[in-house]
Amino acid sequence: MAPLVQWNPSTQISRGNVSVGIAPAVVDIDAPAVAELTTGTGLDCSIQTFNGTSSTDSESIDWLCDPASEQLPGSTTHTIDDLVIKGTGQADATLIADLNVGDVVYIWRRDGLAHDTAPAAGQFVWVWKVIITSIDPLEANNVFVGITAHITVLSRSAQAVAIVA
Amino acid sequence: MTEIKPSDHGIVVEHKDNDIRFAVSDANYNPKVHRKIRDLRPGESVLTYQPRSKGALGDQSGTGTDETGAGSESDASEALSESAGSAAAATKTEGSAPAGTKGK
Repeated sequence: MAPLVQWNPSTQISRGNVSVGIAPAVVDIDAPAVAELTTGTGLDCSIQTFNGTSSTDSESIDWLCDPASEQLPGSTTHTIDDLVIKGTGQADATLIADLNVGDVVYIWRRDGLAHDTAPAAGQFVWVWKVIITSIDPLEANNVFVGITAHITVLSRSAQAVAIVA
Repeated sequence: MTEIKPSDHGIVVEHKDNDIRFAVSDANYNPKVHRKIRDLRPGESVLTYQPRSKGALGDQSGTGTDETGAGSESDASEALSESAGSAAAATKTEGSAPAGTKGK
């Protein structure tokens, strides 16, 4: 018998190797095109963290014959944590325009490549179809000036999907 | 070109960089990056309007989805009639499409 193959890629730190961007339109979130992603704006240099998760509720059915309940997966909800974006406070019109507050925009994230590598066909990205529901000024403290963007996720690519030409 | 006809529930625009058509609400219309195509029709909404690329439209009509093809043609004619005041701009819109397709 062949030995068990261990999944053990070399460890990559996320800092410098993740890019996140906002695109105004993606026709198919499971097949984003290079031109669709490069039209938007990159946020890697103005955010500190990005967290996109999902949760699934389960349905339990209690059959009379069975003391253990049957569990069925329910619907899945995707979420993205509020995005804290560095700003100037006075000349943020370009950023605000890209966010299209209240309308559908697309947030994409590419892991494992130097953040300034140009998007190209074949690279794997996660794509979220979202609405930026509102933006707030960042809490005023001694760190930096910026905005908080609250995000509602409408749908997400099935997994990390390859960019098409 | 910068003045858009007021509509209460959004417009279909084309992005100037990649020619993809999608819907935005009037408040988010930005003449620097958006080219207005038409107002949303009754029954359409900004959130449900599915973005589409010009190339895909051509492909779809080629593969026999007649409805989609006819829809795209009427969209184009609407765009022309709506921006009749700026005929030069409309011509530019139509002329720039093949160039963009070639670039891809």
